[in-house]
Amino acid sequence: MTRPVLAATDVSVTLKGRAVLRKVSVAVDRGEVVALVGPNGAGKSTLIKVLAGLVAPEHGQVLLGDREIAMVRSDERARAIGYLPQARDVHWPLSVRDIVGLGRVPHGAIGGDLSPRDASAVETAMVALDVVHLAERSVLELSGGEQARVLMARALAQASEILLADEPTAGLDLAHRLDVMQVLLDRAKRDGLAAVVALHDLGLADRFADRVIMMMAGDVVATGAPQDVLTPHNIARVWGVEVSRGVVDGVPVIVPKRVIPTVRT
Amino acid sequence: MKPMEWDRSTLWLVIAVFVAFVLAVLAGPGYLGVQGAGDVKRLILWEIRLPRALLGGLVGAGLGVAGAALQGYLRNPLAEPGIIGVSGGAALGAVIAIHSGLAGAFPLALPVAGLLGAVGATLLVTLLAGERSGAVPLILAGVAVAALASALVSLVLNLSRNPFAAAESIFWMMGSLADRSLIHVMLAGPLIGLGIVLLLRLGRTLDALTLGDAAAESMGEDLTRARRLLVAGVALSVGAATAVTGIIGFVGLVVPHVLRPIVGHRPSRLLLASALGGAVLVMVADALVRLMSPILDIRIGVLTAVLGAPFFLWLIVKLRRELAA
Repeated sequence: MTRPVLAATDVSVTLKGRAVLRKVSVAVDRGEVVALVGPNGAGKSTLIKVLAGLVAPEHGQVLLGDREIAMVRSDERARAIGYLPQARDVHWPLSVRDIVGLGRVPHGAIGGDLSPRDASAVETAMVALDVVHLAERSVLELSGGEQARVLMARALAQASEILLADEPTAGLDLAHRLDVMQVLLDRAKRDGLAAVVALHDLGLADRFADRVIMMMAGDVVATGAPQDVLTPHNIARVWGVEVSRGVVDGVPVIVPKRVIPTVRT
Repeated sequence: MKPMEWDRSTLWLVIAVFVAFVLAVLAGPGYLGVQGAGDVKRLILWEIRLPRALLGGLVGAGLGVAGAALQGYLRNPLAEPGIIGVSGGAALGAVIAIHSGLAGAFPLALPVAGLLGAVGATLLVTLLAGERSGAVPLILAGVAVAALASALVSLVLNLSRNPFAAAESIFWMMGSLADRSLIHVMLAGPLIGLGIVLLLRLGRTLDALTLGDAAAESMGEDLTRARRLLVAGVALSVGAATAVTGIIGFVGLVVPHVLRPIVGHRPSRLLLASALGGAVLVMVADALVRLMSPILDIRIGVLTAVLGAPFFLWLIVKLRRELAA
């Protein structure tokens, strides 16, 4: 059995006296897209930060390959793990190309001086996220969805073997939501990228993920293939919403019907 | 912004530094012709003009790069080196030296006390803000320490029974490069230089911080190290500068702003450019001060404040317009 590239075992995190993660274990392998789903406050973002090595768990361990993540040098870790935060901070009006180029910082790019290899990674990422036509525009002039794609391109340009993306599709239009997921899937299948993606769109998780991890109140409540995890029963239990799940033209769909008053407290 | 362009703007800035240096050496009430360099002229050149021009360049470079580094780290275009309380601490140290009579007893007591004040303010700010907290605690601690230093300066002046010392303190705080010798250059120069070197190393981290703390950390940047470099660098460059010249305000605020349209908004590119630009600004401002001195004896710190404050106002109006758009 091959070791997963990134694995958290029994991790617990408490923030301000509140248990955000309780003994959570997750792992991701090369070539797979793992969707992380759950209601607001379930602990998805915190779990992603723990996996990224940015939050140290009080209990449990995180292994990058066969090493404890805290023991890995930060520059080496940055070349192995890309992280797209949920907060879309951009503080200076840099051009789209410069922002995407920041993804090459872990590879030694300083002051925007890109080597041919850096430049080609930046170009590829901009093409994948459909932001080439915006390349010379200031990122602060763009719409929210465009900015989100630019930041995703930045994370992709890092060319890490693992990518942890916290809600990369939030605020994107229909076409670009599909684009982003397709890019992740292509990278996984073609280059062996290991992707963990927090999603609120259960339809996207159902369609694109190899595996779904469902979380509620700091616990993992279900994990496995999309059709096994995203069942009406599980969704009713975790979100308190009655849904219908079906397949239309070969594409799985999840249709929310109503909030179940008794389950949601 | 392509590397070629950047190299060209750096080159222009280096040329500007040389031109400003020559101007700073030549300008002044005593005419320094090239021909017939007599003893007096040589004395003026070596004992007065050269140290003054050197010190102006060093102080300007330190203030400029500190401003650019702080704006990059705090991700706030209105940040100024004074914001973390270092110059306030230096001023307090100097005022105490003047009033205790130490400054009269030893010529170097004044700048040394200024340095100690800057060190004390830095330690207090670090203690209050913590080693690796975000930007807001650092600003709050800096503003608090600056306010405390200013209050203590007022207290010393208030209790002073010596009107001459009080007047000297007030004039000292206005900032001046007059009557500084090579000893001042040798005292402050290495410290300012070291501070500049530390701050120039922040470039990559400041670039990464454009995307926020978490993204920067995930890209392998050590934010604890960055904070230490920043505080040490600003303390050295601004502390040493203030200790020998008094408070020369607005340089660190204005220089990065003037340079952004030329070198771009990338924080790493602004660092070296702001050091060079700061050197030009202070040397030119000091030359101006000297040329005006026979008619109007105005201190350089007053000149930069009189010109800098309206610039600050314009900046706020511009920022508001950008936010509205």
